[in-house]
Amino acid sequence: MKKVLIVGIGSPFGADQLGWQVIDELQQRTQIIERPPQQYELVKLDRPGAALVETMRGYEQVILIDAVQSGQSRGTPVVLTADEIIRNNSNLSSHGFGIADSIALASALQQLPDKLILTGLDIGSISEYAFTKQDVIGLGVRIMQLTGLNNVEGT
Amino acid sequence: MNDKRDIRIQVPVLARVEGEGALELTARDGQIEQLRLRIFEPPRLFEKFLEGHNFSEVPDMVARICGICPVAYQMSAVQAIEQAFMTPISDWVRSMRRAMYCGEWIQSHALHIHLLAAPDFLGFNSAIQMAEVYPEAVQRGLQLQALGNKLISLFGGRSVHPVGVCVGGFHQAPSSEAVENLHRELEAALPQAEQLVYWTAGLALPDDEQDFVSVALRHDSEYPMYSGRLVSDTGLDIAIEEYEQHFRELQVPHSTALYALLHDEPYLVGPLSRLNLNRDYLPSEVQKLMESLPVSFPSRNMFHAIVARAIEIYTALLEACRLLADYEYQAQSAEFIEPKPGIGYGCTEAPRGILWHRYDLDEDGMVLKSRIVPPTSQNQARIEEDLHQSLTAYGLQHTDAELRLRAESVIRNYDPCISCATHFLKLKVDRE
Repeated sequence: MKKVLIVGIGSPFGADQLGWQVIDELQQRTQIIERPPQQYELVKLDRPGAALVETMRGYEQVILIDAVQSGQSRGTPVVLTADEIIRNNSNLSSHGFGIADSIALASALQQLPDKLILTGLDIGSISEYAFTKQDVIGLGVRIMQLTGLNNVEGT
Repeated sequence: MNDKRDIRIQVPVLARVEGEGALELTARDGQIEQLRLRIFEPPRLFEKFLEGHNFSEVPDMVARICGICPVAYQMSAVQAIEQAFMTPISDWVRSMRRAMYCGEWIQSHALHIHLLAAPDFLGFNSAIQMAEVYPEAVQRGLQLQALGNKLISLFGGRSVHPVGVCVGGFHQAPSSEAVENLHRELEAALPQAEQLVYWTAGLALPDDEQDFVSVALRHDSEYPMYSGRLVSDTGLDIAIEEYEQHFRELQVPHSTALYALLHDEPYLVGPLSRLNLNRDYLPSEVQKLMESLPVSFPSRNMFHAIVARAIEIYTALLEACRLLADYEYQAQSAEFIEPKPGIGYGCTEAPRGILWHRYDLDEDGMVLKSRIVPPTSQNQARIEEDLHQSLTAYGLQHTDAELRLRAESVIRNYDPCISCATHFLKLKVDRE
């Protein structure tokens, strides 16, 4: 069983870049030690749909990073568990499978990792503009604390 | 229930299809009065975006038309541009493009079978509900989808909007080690693909024989995917360059996607068409397996498309294994390109059917004009024709909920990619 998978979900546009920017930030920080910690895997995905279920398979802990719109002010940190994501899935999108659908599908298949959270920042009412470097660093640092990545020797 | 009652069914947003569309149905005195597959997603205008761009930008631009079948757009585009430039393409490039295309068929078909279509035939509202009762089937589907994505990534760097394809070949050839590892995985998945064919053929599919025209590519030595002539089961046999002389696109008020007709009649493209017209070119293992199925081809039952998709997954896996078995790394993975002014045509078999491209290019290789005809817009008229025939055969005495479900199942059966189709709109502005 592999240990921790950190997935930045997004696209190259506006606030939706957040997941990818945080992965870049984490990669930079772990490269400083010139010995990437093997128990961690960092990946960027572009609207993975149901493929997310297979991507998560075999990990003890999965952190999904994404920009979210939950009605709060821009930049508000958001942390959701798998249960909360499944419960709050309004399923309004006609564009096939979203993240919530994938997590519900993994749950139905009894294939969810032991620990799964989705963390990100609320985009507020503006999706066109990317988050600031400060926002990205702040979220990256919180994820390092959350996963124990900051305790890996050399960081 | 009275089959002469007034029926008015509106499905404002179709679920489990790619993109946004709606269905409107009215019936009176036991006759369907009006039936519209209404596509309201905004036009994408890609053909116009391409104008003024250099040929080298085209593969990455057209890949953005679709998140499910970007490889198909890249393949039709590079083929057309290479034809215009008269660029000779090596056997290695041709084979590796076909291998990459296999990945797209595997992932797209696996997604459609398990997450979009099968719930209709097993009585579930969603794949999530279905997964609780049929976890092994859904897991198999997700594993096959992931394998298809890996094959695309091998050549394209990533599976969604891949970036490895260029005019002349590939930006980079994958390493022998990467190919060897994936080849092992593909071989290991063959029994799964075989089981999937039996599983789809064992589903309780509606018995709905219809008359329709099948159109597909036909190659002189292989199951069509990357190239061939355009053929139909009504005698059409033309070069892809002759498409515009036989097929006509038209606009209707209720759709932002164009309709297409062959000699003024609707026609079908996609896996069932391909199989109906090309089963003699399936690998021998597949032909042998098909002899033991309760479903036979050519088939006039549109619902057999799900079995055709499973057969094509098995075929694509076998093809990919064959093409990658004796892989040799190529340091030079693309031909040298010398732009020439001219017109080029490309047509390949996307998972949903033929995808036809035409590019007019100038002496510097800049796009002057482009035309892209995706499979879903070609199937639109056939979907409406199928809905008429299928709902009439099913019986208008059924409840609104039953009619709605049957109508949605008919539409989903085509695996329509509405986002791909909506890329053109002519506006008529009346000014006083």
